[in-house]
Amino acid sequence: MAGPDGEPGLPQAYLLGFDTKGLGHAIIANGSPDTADNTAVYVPRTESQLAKAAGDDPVPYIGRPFLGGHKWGVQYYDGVPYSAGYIQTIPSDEAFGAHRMHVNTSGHSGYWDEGSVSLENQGAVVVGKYGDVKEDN
Amino acid sequence: MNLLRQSFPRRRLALCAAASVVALVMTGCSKDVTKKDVNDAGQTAEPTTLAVDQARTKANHLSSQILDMIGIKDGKVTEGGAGVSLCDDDPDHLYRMRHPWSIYEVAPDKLEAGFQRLREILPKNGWKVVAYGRDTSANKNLELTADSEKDPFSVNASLRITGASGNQQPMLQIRVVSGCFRAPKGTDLGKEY
Repeated sequence: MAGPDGEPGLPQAYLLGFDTKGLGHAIIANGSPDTADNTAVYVPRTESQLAKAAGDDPVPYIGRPFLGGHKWGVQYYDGVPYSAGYIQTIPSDEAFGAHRMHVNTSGHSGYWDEGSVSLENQGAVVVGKYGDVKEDN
Repeated sequence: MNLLRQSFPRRRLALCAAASVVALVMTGCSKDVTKKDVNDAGQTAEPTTLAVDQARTKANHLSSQILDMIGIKDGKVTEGGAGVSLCDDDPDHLYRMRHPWSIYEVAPDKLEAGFQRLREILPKNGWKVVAYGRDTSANKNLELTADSEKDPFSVNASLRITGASGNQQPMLQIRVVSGCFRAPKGTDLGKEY
């Protein structure tokens, strides 16, 4: 299942685009967007230059757009506007991360509280499994 | 036996914590003492230094152990191995392992039996079940969380056999996660996966 040049178990990376402005940006796909059942966009924590650039430039997106279906979210992710017209399913920490899984009795509970529920919920939304999203009590 | 308890730096930090009760303003301990680095005795602990490959091997080994406990021989299992996540406290030096995987293409009743088998066998294999019950999703999936008693690892198992997604693609989802480790000097965590 490894990509031709990849590590075992990890998808091949695809370079979809790059530029050298500011700190430099690259658009990387993990796995082929053309053959994927689902795609998701991730913008790592933005440096100020990138956030500024996003105000003027089109926001990059990767792979096939989510058209129709569930609208689930906010229009900003880490300060970058995502209502770019194509992507309607927007996972966000704000929307999903507020509720912590109830494992307060766990001695290792700290292992689970740093965004793990948020990550998992984002995954559930990306693949359309809305019934598995953990919600606030 | 907890790895954290054996480490010398933790004792140093415990002393620092005691000292800071007496004199809150002094000591250079504060940069190491964060509320997230708390072990199960409730004491502050410096993360254990461990090479990424060793942590990965450990995580993969624990996942294999869990798969054996579930005891489902047919169906499919996710192929990917454990991966590195950076810890918020110090993402340049601290990391944790995450290994999410699942068993699928198995009948729901077999998945449920495997889940219950895991719940029963975990305590006999050095794991303490610390949470069990329905989660807060619309599908009310049955899940459990267990902590390893000898390693800084925890596992969460979620039985996905109800609702639209559970009917369409029943699975038993497993997530193995570690506490934060300190990468050995010279490690570039930006290049780890």
